[in-house]
Amino acid sequence: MSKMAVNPKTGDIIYVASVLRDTNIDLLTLTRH
Amino acid sequence: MTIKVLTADGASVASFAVPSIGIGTPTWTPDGKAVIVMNLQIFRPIRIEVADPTRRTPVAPLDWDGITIRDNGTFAVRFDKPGVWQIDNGIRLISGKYPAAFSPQLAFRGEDVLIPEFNASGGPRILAQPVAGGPDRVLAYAPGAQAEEGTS
Repeated sequence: MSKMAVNPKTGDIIYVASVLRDTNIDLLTLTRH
Repeated sequence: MTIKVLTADGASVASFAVPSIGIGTPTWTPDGKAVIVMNLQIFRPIRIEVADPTRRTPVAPLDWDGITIRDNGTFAVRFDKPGVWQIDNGIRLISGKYPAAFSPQLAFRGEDVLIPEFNASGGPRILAQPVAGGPDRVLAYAPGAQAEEGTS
């Protein structure tokens, strides 16, 4: 489950990632966007 | 099931039993005086006063859950279908994209409510949906994000 929350002061978002489901969770994935 | 209210230092403020928690709850009321949970015995969310946990009052009709009271409205989700609504002044669908039965609390960022989109073609991402209405926008990509089992 990917819970997420927002820092009310900075707007930063945190979420829970599953590295078992997405082993490509790395800079390459983000760079593609 | 028990809810414990603690100070930042860990001192006990209150401790009380609840019949259930629900999805998207518990949440605080804006004044910090009560918490809201879903009572699955009556399928209605209830407000529990922290100073007197025996005082329990329904805060929404049947089947609404994830009740989140903010300065600009009361927001909710449902068990039976996707979406997020504002329910304090009539019932207004804000977006039908919010996953049904997604258990975390609603996340707001400024005037937006955040919507996880797990099955987008380019990979999981987070949408920002203005609570006032209008189109959503892609706020961030979220590699590795996944819906919990049973979430559509």
